[in-house]
Amino acid sequence: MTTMAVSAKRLDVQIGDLVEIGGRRYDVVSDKHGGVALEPAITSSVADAHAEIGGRPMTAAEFDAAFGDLPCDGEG
Amino acid sequence: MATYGRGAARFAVRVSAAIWREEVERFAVRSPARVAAERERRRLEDDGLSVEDLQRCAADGAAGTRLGGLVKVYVPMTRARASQQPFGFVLSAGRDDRGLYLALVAYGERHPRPGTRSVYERAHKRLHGRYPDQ
Repeated sequence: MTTMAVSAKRLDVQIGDLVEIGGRRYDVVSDKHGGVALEPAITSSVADAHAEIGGRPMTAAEFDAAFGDLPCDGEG
Repeated sequence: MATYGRGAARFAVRVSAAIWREEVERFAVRSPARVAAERERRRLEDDGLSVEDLQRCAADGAAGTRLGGLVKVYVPMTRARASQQPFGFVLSAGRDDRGLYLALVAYGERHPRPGTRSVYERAHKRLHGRYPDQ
């Protein structure tokens, strides 16, 4: 049996940080088990999406009028 | 389009290039998730979505997500049972000078393996600036 000499790169990051690896961006997130995981980054908001399109989000009243009767399965 | 409330219950769907890149192109080119999204994109942009295709997202979701004010459609967009639709688009309703529309805000797996965020958690971050458990 052979052994491998492994040296780890120490990263000074914490949950909520944005990191770039191999040209791709990731959010540092909780793995929900006490550790961390990398999740493909989210760098823009819902408001940004509307702005890029050239519109604005519906108001709560507009949303209720248009979608208030839609079903909701509670999943998310 | 987007004349819901005046007889034609269909909404135009607008897709931001930045959102598409972060939500769909994060998946490998031939992965089932990416293939399914790319197959549906033309249909979304050409035909829009009928109000009958949509569900409201939950204001208080199972994993702590708070997505009130958003709607969703399961993918593949067929009349199949939800168990055969593993992915979802989450959309935010908006208004511009052409009328009402739906903007894509998140795409992904509804029930991913542990360690991967669901489409609902990603939509929550895009809406609130952080993940539900942060």
